[in-house]
Amino acid sequence: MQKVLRVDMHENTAVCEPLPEKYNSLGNRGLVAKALVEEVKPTCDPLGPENKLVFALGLLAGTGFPTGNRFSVGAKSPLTGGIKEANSGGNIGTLLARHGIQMIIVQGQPQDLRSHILHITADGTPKLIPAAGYAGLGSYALVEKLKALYGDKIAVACIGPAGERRYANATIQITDHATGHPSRAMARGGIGAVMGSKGLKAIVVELANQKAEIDYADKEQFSKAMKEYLGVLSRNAITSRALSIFGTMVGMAVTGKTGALPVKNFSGQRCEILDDIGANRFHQNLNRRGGKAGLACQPGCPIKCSNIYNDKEGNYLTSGFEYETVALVGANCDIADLDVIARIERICDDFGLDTIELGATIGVCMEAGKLPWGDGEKAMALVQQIVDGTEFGKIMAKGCKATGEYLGVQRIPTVKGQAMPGYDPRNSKGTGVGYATSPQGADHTVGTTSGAAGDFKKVGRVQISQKVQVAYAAVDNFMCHFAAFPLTSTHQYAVGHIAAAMAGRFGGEWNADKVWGIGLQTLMLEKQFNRTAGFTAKDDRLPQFFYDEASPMTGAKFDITDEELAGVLPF
Amino acid sequence: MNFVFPLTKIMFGDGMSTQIGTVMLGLGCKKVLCIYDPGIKDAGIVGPIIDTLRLAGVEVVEYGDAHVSVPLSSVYEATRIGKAAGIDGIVAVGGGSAMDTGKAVNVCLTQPGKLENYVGTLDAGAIYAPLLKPYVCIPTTAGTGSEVSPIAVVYDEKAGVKRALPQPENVPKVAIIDPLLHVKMPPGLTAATGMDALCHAIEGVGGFLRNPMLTPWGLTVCDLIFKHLPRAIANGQDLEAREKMAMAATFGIMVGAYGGFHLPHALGHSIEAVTHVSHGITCAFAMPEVCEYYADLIPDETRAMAAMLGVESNGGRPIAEVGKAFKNALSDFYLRIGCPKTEKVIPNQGDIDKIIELALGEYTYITASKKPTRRELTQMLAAACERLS
Repeated sequence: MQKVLRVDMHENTAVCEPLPEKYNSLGNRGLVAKALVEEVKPTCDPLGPENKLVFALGLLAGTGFPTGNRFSVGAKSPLTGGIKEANSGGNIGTLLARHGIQMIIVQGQPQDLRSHILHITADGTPKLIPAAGYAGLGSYALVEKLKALYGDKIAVACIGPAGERRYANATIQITDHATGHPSRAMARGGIGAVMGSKGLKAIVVELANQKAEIDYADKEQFSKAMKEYLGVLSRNAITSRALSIFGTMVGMAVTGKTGALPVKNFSGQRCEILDDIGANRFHQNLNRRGGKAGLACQPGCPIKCSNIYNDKEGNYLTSGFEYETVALVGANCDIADLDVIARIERICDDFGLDTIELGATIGVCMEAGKLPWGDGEKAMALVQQIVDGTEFGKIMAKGCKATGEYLGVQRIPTVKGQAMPGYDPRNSKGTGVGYATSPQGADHTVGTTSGAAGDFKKVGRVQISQKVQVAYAAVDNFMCHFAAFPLTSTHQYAVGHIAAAMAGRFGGEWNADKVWGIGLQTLMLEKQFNRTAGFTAKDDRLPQFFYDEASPMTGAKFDITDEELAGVLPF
Repeated sequence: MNFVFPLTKIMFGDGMSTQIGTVMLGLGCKKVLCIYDPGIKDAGIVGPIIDTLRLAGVEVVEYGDAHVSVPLSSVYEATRIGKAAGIDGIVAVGGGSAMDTGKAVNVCLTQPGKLENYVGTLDAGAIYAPLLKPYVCIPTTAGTGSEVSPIAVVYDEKAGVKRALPQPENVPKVAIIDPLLHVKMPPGLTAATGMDALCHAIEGVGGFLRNPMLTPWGLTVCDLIFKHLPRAIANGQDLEAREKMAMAATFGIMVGAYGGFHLPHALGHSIEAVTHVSHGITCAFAMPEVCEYYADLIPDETRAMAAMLGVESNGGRPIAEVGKAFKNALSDFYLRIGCPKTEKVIPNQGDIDKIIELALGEYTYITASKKPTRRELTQMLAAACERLS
């Protein structure tokens, strides 16, 4: 039997209840949306007592399905003012699933403003523990302390000082399976600030003494479908080879040369520093310094796209060092030094900041002339200002939009208040349509088309964006996007195994349409939330400069009209 | 399993190069750029080919200064000549240098932006459109296989580095392999290029993209080389040996390029960068150690290759033993055909660390299906140095 753990910070209680039947048909992002629609007033103050922080596992959690223990969180976002979901791998999903905890809903705010840690013991008992001793700790030091106390096998979801200070760019950090460090992030939308506003510093999960049983409608059918899907993953070039050998950095090879990679605050120029920050240099540094590729961020993942990146002396610097970080902090700021980018990433993981939002924020600072393009040391100094909490640091910590407006910058690459990830929407128009119309704002998980051949042209982009947005939203209910490549990049064959797995797990008739239907339901819930929060069609467009300025590299402007955007998933 | 296998039309056989005029006309070419190096002209190989083209009514513009390692300045000069003349096709006659120059020139002549946009390993921009010009290669060595491969290597003189130009669209349209053009190759060049072809086959059989169609090709190529390379070296006029080596080179590169190169090329490129010894030799230098290391990954293939060199490899003999015996047999083969010893390849043992540092950054190391640690790779190279000292 699966459970919902409801944590009331006002009452200082943490109680497990059986998972309501109605929550059986959605997972991760969809489950977050459903709970928020049902329990949170969309017009509430994101950092006030009425907002709730909802953690959720996927539909196939606990079953051993590849990447099925992905971990999601959501709330009304202090960055966008709309609904927000962020997710991560790491080991916490696996440990929660073992306890049978499918959801954690954190509500209220502590009366005494004191910070707490939610501790789930090996026998499944949830406890709120005062966390005064951990205040202001970076996530790395925090996890070390918690491990000293509770052992090495724990999983942690925590905020750094950024979340404690309720910065709109704050993340929730998750312990990585391969390294045990809190190097994985549920990064976007300032979700860490909501956790900070609840006075919750961390969730610590011990390995359950006893594994919670999963009720299968037909275990044999489920196992067969899972085996078939593992076969699909092992046959797909991306999931069986490219991601384990090259990691997400392989994306640079596509976007860098097609112009989708953002360069100098989304100028649309060609990236001239690919030799310094591209996948090849990345792996050279990895191999020469004793780093590693091909690591699993969550237990049992067959794809293994994670890595360990060491410094020049061969000492651990960071892990889970990914494409988006290098795209935004590197290419978008013209910083041609992977080591500087890695150091900034380490600070972000430790302090609890989203590297995408931060890279775009530094980009607008460079645009404003606050520091020269490509000046890695000055960029580090700006990040230090956030850590030190200086006046300008506090503005930067509010994100790209706030910083750009403060500095009087005209070209601010955000949608619904959230910074664009590593795809220029003129040269990846399919992605641009997703940025504009997604309820999540500009986000790398809403449906990217990655700037493949022809993506800088208008033809077919609206249709493909709709398809990809639905597919991504569906996948976000049960697995990691990377394990879903065969679903979105091949054909109905692979989806059939998902449908069969769902039927084996839950019973009933399942087919491909029903699987994609989960995505539609999720998007409908999210759009419903945003509409009530006050979003209108005017929010579903890109910043004006993408319509006015042609990318010097391809000549492309963002030429999808407002009418066309209004027709994207119009519900 | 997923792969792309771009194919070149292969025309093979003694005297086949006399078909060049018909071939270019068949591709619709009226004016071609003919790329070759001065040595090939001096050997009297280019003249008849150009004559044949002209007799067929095809205008020929010449670039006769193709350089070893394909420096960019040479590529740009050939491009300038081709552009000024308004050519509609390219012919390369020579070894890897001439053929790789042709590939780079073709990209420069037809694709938007700079050549730089298309080079690199992981980060190379892909060619989508417009179409490349019809490109025909006539190899005069039996090793590189560039006449049917999608890869060229160019040398950026300013940066002092070699860069790959890996473009599946850039496989030559036609490869005319005429073993009679190989008879003037001196023994040293025959040995070095032949060992290059052997590396292609052996690596492809154990590469990260190996597949069951390539494996038999690779094993056949090894067998051809083991049997015929010593003969071609001993007697350059041995037409059967030249023919079989030509065949081994052309088919060997496809096994390597599509099966995946690995450690011999990673070490080979790196030794080459430090000591400037020829490509085939540097790749072959530590290949015996690599083969021993890979024996447990590809036991059946290792047993088959070892047997070709007379190693007792079947039955219940443990694979580790077979791997070791294969290493020794390969080493004997290397020496038997007169390849240089350690003092000529890595004269200064102090360079080993530098070579390993470079090798760890090679694409062929990054993608190796069995990846040694820095320490293991260093031990392998040190063992090769010791073995061949």
